[in-house]
Amino acid sequence: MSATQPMVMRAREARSFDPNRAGKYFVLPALLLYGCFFVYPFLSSIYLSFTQWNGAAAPVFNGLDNYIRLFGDARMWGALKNNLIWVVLGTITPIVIGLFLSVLLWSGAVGSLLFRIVYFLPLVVSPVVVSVTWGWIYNPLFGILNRFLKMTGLGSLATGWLGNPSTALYAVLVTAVWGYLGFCVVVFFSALQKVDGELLDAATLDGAGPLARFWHIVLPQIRPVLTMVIVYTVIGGFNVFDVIYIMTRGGPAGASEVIATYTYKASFQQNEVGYGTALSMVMTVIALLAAIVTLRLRRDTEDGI
Amino acid sequence: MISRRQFAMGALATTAIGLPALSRAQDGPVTLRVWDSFADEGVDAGMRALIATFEAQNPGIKIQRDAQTTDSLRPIMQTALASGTGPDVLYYDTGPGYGKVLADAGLLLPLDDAYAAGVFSHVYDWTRARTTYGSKTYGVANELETYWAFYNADLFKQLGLAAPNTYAEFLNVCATVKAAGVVPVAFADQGGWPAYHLFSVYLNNVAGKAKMESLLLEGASWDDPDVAEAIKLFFVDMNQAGYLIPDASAVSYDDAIALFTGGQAGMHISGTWAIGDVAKAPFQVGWFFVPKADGGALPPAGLGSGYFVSSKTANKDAAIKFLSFLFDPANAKVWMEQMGILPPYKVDASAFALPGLFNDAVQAVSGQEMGYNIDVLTPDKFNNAMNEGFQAVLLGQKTPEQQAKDLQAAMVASRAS
Repeated sequence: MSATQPMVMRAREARSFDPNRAGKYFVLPALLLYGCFFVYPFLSSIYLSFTQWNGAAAPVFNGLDNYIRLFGDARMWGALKNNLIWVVLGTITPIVIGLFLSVLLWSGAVGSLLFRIVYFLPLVVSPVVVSVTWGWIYNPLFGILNRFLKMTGLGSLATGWLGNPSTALYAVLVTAVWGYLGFCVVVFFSALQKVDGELLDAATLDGAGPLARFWHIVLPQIRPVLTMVIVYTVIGGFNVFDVIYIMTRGGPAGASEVIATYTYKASFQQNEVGYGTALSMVMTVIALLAAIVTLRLRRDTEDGI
Repeated sequence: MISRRQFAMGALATTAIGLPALSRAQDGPVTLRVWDSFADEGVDAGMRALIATFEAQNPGIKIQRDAQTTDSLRPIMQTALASGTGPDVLYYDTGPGYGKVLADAGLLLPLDDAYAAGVFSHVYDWTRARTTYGSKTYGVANELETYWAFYNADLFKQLGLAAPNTYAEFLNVCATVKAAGVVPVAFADQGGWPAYHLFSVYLNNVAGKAKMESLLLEGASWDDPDVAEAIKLFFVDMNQAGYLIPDASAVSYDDAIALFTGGQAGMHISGTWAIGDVAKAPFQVGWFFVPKADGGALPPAGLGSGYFVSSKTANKDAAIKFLSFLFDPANAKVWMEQMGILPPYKVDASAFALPGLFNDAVQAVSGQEMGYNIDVLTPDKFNNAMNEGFQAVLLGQKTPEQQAKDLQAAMVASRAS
């Protein structure tokens, strides 16, 4: 063996196993799946949004007709308004309540583990089961909510919660918040474990009250998690479908209609898949913009802007 | 390391061995894929019994059946058929937004040859029109049904009431039942679709058969005083008089049935397909056709879904054979006794063990002049306008006249698209 042979052998060994190249091969199957089940359908959807298609015959390209119709569609604007209500209330409520409960649990309350389990349970129950059960609670004939209101002298408030256009959307929202709250509690509780206790002790010694300690010490340290939950919740709010479709089908008379339920009806009940796809494209863009704005606001806040 | 020549020889040998195996598979039993909506327990059992009998009589044909709810079938049927992964035989809505869409897309096999050969010669002629789109017939319609008012006969007897013969008598019945603290009519519209049927009942009575034909078949305008009147009579007058379930838009159809069978509602206006549920009531159940103002009635009649054959099927003969079996009068007993479904041909059901109500339905459909069931004949946009529009009328958000205008607008939009 010559003096160069060990170097050649080491070079060959280096070429035969390049961790970077190996990593690409490991990622390739997931990338292929991503391409097949996300990228391709997404690009197809963009094309279909510019077609008139009933889902059975071949799509016919119709230019911007779907988008022109969409922007003049009062029903779309009504659904979008409901989505915005859902996003605002459906983001603030579970996050504020979830944060409050997680701080309570973090402070060492007795039975903390039991409470965490109880709060998390709704999240593991099927959304269909949650929706059907809450539908029974709201039922004007035998639901316990109206019975409770009547028993406590508040019978004047009893109504057909899911059949009253003034209450339908909010009644479904309460159900969704109830089901989602546990996620916020568990995630925030995990984030709170990483808060620096020494800073809190120092602040206490300096005379900072609970609110001040929370605002100036706890919140900044859990900000990344908080941002993640907010973005996740906002996007979920724009995409909400299942709980509304099961409980009200977007009724009564469109009072709880959101873009996703309208998209479903347009595509699968009215055989207007092209138009339904255009609706979903608009919702995708709006959700994306909302997520970008949220992330930008968070970055600006961290930079002190 | 094998050479290219050796690889080629091996491939050739494998193919040579494989080909006979392939041809043996094609000579074997035929598997016929069938999708239907007989998912509920009773009808599912009946269909399984029919299939078992068919397979026993046809050992060369195996049925691979998939039963789903109608709502589940609708979103997937088009894409499944278009992609070639759908069933050979499908049970699907015959309406213009469903069966016709598939037919226009070339996804259904015309069955004119089978009809001409007399395979379905015993099926009522008029039912063929339900699955005829353009000039070709694509399916066999099924589930003959009509709409009437089920009533609690024990309660009526207790209150000294009888089945009404005029609309004024019907309103008197409602008032008497309400005064007794019972909901007069268990109408629930959370799903939106029960309203279609009540609209059909009332419009047939108000407009008459000729006008129904002009509206449904000849393109007459729905922005019509008779249409507005029919909407007003039920969705406004009955609601404001307190004769319906309070907050009807918040109550599901199943809860309405439960209210009636639980004795908390005096009447339930629905299709004869509800006989199976209603017959479970612990009291005697009667029926009457909702009467016209001056007596008599023109109840809507219709058909439910129908059987179709995929145009992409590789088993056309087996599919036709299966349909012929399903619609063979020899199997009427299973359809009626086990599944509570009235087939689309004349049946002597005297020897069948049927609930009294079902026998009544058989007699009623064959002996009464019938009108039209609207929602199975109208396009999707129109049905959607009914769905949401009648909820709006019930809530006082829309007048009957406005709803009539909106129905016409929806019909025009459907024709334009």
